[in-house]
Amino acid sequence: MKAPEGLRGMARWTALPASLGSGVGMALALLHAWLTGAVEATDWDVLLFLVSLALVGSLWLIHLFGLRALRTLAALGEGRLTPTPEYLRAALLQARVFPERCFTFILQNWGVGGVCMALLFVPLADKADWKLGLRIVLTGVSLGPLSALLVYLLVARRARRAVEVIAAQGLTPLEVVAVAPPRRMHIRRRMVLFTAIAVLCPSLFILDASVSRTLRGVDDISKASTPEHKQAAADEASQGGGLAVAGLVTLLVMLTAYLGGTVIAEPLRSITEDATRIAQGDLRPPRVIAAEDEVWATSAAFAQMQAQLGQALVQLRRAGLQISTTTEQLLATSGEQESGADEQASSLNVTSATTEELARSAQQIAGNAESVSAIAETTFAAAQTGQRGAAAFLGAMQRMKEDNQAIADAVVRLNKRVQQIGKVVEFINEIADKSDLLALNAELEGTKAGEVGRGFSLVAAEMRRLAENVIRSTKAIEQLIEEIRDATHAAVMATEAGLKTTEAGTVLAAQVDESLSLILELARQTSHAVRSISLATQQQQTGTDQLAAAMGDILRVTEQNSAATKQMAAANADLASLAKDLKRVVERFHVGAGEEA
Amino acid sequence: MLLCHAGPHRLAFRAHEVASITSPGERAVVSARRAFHAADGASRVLVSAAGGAVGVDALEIEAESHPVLPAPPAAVRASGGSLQGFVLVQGQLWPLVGLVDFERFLRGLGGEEAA
Repeated sequence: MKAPEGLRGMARWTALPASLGSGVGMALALLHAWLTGAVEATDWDVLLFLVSLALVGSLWLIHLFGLRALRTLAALGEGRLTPTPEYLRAALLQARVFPERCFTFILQNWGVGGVCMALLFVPLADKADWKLGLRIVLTGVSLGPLSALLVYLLVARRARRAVEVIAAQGLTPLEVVAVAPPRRMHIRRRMVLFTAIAVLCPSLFILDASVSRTLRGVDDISKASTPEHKQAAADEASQGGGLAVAGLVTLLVMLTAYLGGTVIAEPLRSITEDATRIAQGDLRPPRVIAAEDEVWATSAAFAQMQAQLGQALVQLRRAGLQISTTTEQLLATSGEQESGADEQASSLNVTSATTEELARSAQQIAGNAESVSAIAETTFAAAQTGQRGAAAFLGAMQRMKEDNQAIADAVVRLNKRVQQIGKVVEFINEIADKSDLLALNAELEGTKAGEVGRGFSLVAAEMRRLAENVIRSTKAIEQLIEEIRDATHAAVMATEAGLKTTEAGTVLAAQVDESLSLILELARQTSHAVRSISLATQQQQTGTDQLAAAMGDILRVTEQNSAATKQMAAANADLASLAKDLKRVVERFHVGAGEEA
Repeated sequence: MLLCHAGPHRLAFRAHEVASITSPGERAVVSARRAFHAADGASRVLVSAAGGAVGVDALEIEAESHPVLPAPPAAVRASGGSLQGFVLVQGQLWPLVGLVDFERFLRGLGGEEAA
């Protein structure tokens, strides 16, 4: 019967050899009974009836057992359950344990069936005794393990196929291993059991046949009355027809051994094929190689190894690619770093020289700062002197202002006096004018008097000249007074201007004094700042010296770094070569699509 | 004889026609400058016996007698009859006018100018 491709009918297909094995055992038992003549001809009806009943009952029970033991697989095959991972795992577990359960069930079936057969047949048969019942039980005991073993081997191969089909529905090999971890290592015990069954069952069968035939021959010979009959009985006993069934049993044992070897060899062959393929560099995704006990452990470990190897190869390939890329980048970076280190060393040389120049400049600045500090001190002293001079100048301006005010007052008083003098002169002028007028009239009267008045006229004329002289003098005095008035006025104006100028000078002197105070304060601050600058410059000089020393150290470290970079570039080149070798090695393996993902 | 000046011009009066000499401001005076069509002004005032007064700028008294030279009738008429002739004093000709007539003549000039 061809194995189904999917889950449909898989449960029935898996459980079918159980019925076949039981049927073969039953047939062998009947054949043994017939050839050995253990059952009288009158009792065959009962025997066939009971065997048929047992066969039907056994097949029915096996059918029920198969449905129960593979219920999830049957439900999945009939579509009553959705093939979810959970159900698939349950079906897989049921298929895995089904051969052993089948073995046990068949064995129990044969034991119970043999006892029941003996118990039923002996009372129902006409010519059967309890010895025959014991032989029936013995037949069941000898054929039961053999049938169970045959069923086990047949079912095991199908169960493996069922496991592979179930796994193909959505379970990875690793999941299958996780569902059915290889915990039981009973192959030795199985081999012992197998050997025991293969040796003991035929032995018992042959023993029964031989004993029964021997007893029967002895009975026939002893019952023979004549030598011819005895010779005929001896010849019949020596034909050995009853041992033919033993030969069939032996054949069955051989078949069972063949099946056992096949059951053990199949997964090992598959593992060997896969291992050979891997050795040739063809690493496909792992597959489920169903087996039992140590072989299953080997298969599981092999599947895990395949998966791990695939992942490792993929990772190794990626790593190799990445290492190759990274190494190329490292090589490029190393080149840049090397050139950068050279440039850095060159720049550091320049920087070091600049730093030394800076140190010299700082030293010179410190010296200049000292000079500036001394100049600032001198400036401060000069500003102090200037402030004292400005204060003295301000006092002098104040005194000048007071003197000018006194001069102005004196000029005003002088002007008043000059005005008084003018009034006096004016009065004198009026008197002189009246005197002149009187002299004129006197001279006129003398003239009128003629010769008599001549002397009078002369006196009057002389008086008149005196009066005119006085008038001229007063005129001159008035002129002088006017000039004095103008001069005093100009003096007043000049004094007022001088006062204003003095006030402006005083204000300016105050401003100068204030400015000089400010200059003095600024000079003090400048002196303090210059002193601070001088101190800071000295510290800067110290720091610059330290910087120059540090730059020297950095330069040495940079040169060492440059040498290390060159060594690293060489190491990167070696690493690139190694990455190429690694890539070449990894590319020898052909990793399947599932592993690539 | 009184030798007077009215501005740049010269005038001479007989001494007996002058009653007194006063200062301006004591009475109403007509200036001799008016005869020469100049602005009024005087520093001395010649007062006649009739009370008339003529202002002159300066004067001096000449005690010596000098002959009077006749004046042309046209000049006499032009002076309103006040011109009596000319006298030669100190090498210069001085028009000799009567004080009263000259004062009247000057007042007449003042009325004409006022008209």
